[in-house]
Amino acid sequence: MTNNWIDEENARASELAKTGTTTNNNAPLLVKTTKKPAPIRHIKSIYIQDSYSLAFDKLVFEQKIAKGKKAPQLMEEAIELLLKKYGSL
Amino acid sequence: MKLIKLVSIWNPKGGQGKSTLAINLAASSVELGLKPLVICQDPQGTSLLYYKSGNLPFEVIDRVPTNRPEADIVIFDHQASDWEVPNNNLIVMPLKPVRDQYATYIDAYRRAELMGKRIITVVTDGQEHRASEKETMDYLKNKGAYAIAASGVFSRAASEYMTIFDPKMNKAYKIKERRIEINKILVNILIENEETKNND
Repeated sequence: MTNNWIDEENARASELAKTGTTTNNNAPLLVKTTKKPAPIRHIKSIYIQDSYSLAFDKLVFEQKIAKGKKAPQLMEEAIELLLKKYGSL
Repeated sequence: MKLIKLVSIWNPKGGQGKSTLAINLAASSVELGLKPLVICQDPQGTSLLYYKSGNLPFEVIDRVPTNRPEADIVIFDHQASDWEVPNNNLIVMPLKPVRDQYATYIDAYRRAELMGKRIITVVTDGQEHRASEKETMDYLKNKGAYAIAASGVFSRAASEYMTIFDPKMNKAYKIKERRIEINKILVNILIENEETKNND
């Protein structure tokens, strides 16, 4: 074997593995950000009065500005309260 | 419930052939009558680009599905610079037989080895007429690695975003040999409890 560097690299890697670091431990490491996938949702059409519709649109807009919850999440929150109130959850 | 084989193609070093290996292993499994699924975990989206070309006989998706996929084998195509050892028990690590490429590979290999992973090493793009590369290839093959020789068929297939198993490649020079090399790796992947030798 004339490629004697392999033994050097193997020895170096074994030593490095004991420390749990990389060769250049000061370099920025890749940070994985895994987005939580949205739950499966279905369209549910219901008739509501104008005042509620407008109030809901306003709430959605305000939440958008505040980088808060989105329309489906807000509607689910409202339904959750209803289900709790009527004991269906 | 049907068992799904999970394989991670991983090496923090870029340009070692992770995406090429991922899509060609998937194509090889189609030849065997299996249904593969490739999950592209690389922002470069190389395997996704192949899929979008419409030449692949299997699906490539951009994220881990929320529901259990209808597949026999799921291949995770990891990105370069990813030093986190994959969760899957089986890891396929491609590398080029050159010292600076080997250095990163062996660092990552040791990490995975410490975590008790089953590792299949694949030497890619090896030039047998270069003594140093040949020696490295022989050394790794003695340790249980597979080898895919440097070949124009890969660049030819890449130019049309297809795998080397595409019928259009049937008359390419030495295509049979290259396909056999990929098939051998797939067979090893599919064998349960196969022990691969360590690189000590």
